[in-house]
Amino acid sequence: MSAAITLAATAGQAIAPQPDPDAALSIRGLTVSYADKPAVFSVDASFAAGAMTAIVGPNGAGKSTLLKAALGVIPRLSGEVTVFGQPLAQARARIAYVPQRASVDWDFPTRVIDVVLMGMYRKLGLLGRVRIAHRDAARACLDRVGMADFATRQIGQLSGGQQQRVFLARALAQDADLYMLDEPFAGVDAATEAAIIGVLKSLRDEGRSVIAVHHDLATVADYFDRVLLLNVRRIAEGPIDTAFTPAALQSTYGGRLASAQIDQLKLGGA
Amino acid sequence: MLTLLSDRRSFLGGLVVALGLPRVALAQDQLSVVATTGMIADATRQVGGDRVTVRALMGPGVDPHAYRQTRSDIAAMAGADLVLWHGLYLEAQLEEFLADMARSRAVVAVADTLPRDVLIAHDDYAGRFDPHVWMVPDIWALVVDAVRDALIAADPDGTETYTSNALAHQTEIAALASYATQSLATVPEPARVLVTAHDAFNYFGNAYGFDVVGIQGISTNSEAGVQRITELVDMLVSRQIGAVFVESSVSDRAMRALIEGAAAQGHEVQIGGTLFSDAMGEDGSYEGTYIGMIDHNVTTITGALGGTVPDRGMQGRLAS
Repeated sequence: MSAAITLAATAGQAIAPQPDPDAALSIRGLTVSYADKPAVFSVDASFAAGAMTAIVGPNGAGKSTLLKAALGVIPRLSGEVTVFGQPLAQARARIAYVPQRASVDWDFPTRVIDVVLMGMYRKLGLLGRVRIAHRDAARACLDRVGMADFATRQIGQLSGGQQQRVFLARALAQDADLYMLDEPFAGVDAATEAAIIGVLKSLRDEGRSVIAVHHDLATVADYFDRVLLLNVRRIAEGPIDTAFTPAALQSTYGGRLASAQIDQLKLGGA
Repeated sequence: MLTLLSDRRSFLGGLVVALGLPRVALAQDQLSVVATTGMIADATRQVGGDRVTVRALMGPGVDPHAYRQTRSDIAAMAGADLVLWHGLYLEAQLEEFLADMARSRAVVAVADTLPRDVLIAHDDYAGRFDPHVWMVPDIWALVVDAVRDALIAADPDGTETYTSNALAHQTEIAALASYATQSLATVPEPARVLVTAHDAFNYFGNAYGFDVVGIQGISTNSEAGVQRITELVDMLVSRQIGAVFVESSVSDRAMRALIEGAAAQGHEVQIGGTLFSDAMGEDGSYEGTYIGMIDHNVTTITGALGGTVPDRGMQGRLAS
């Protein structure tokens, strides 16, 4: 009995690859299950530092779940997560997370600038007195997302897309090395989408790492450098050129994506 | 499958209402949470909304440092889906009991998740930290993240609700943070001294640039105590500090010695008001919420030390 367990454990170790210390986020053997049904099953993925990576897959493929489990927000059944080669607990301050746009009942007169200032505390730590300089930094973050003119407006008075930009500005104020976003373009207007992708690309150009759950196959190749195709399991992963291929999309979406649709997409390997 | 389940649930809910059965039948669907302090219970209510029922172990005016579990606490925790406590050694007398509880259910110390670089080291215990983080809204907003994450872990179906509610509550806290910063900045610089009953205000002092003096433990009977009181009186007089603050739970003998000492030097010091330190106000009142508690403290301190502040606080909701 105990010999069998030892054997299995040894075999498991031999198979599981080591975490990738050079990656912004490295996931090994990640399994998350809801009510005994695996939402994410035994996924290995390595998100390159200094790159923009999309997590793509059909509804129910476990995209958001993978992101949240990697952040430690929801418990994982098994698996190992490292961020820049460190355990999650030690690297938390290097990560900024922008959740999916929420339908919030904003009945409180909070000003936009105050929401952004809130993002700065974790970084400022014990020097966290809000000074003029912090206000200027918060305004600069708003400027980056094209919302500088709205600094003193109440958050509840903004459109959904504008609110999404404010929450991106709050994440910018955290000055993180790894930005993780859950469907940042869902339900936003074209101007907001353009503003957000511009900011994400500039973060990448500064050497930061960006990971986003993304649902629009038509823009994957334009927006991102790399892709993880996910359908509960990992289907393909890598640069757009090698991973975002008709064959990989066919395995990810199965019959849900007609060949004609795939033909219209801008894909890798072309 | 999930859709089916929730359909069935709401269908049953409709039946229960129709038949006039007690509400208890529905409550079984809610996540049952026990929180140690009122502040954590309030955050849990804000984030959990209708999906959770929350019970706070410690009511208004209870000292968490000394609190021990009662028989009914044990029963409440045994029946709970999730137990949230503060951590950072705040519930010093409960730690062993909570460790026992953690063997059979989800138990999360929400303030233990804070990054170490926002924490103030404890004066008396190496490797420990001052637990009074709720005094600064910006830090408390990070604890709200931990409450959200604990609720999501216990009830993943509620992820969307918990995420939206946490965001909404954090923007309220952002407004509070801004009110605190702006109000306290109106206190004249020399007067930025907070003399209080016990040492709960270090984070507050650090964040807003106030010197903090806790007088608990200063004995008016010992020579050292008298010497310390004399020093404090000189400080009050020389910096022209007009007010000191009390907490209902702590003896004010030393406080009276301070006031009398200053009066003997011709300087009038008043009791600036009662501050909430380790517990919130009465249940059901504005001061019985986290926002109201901090609003009260900020408004009271600013007003008493010569700053400019609305009498009834950031929303005009404070008791006059």
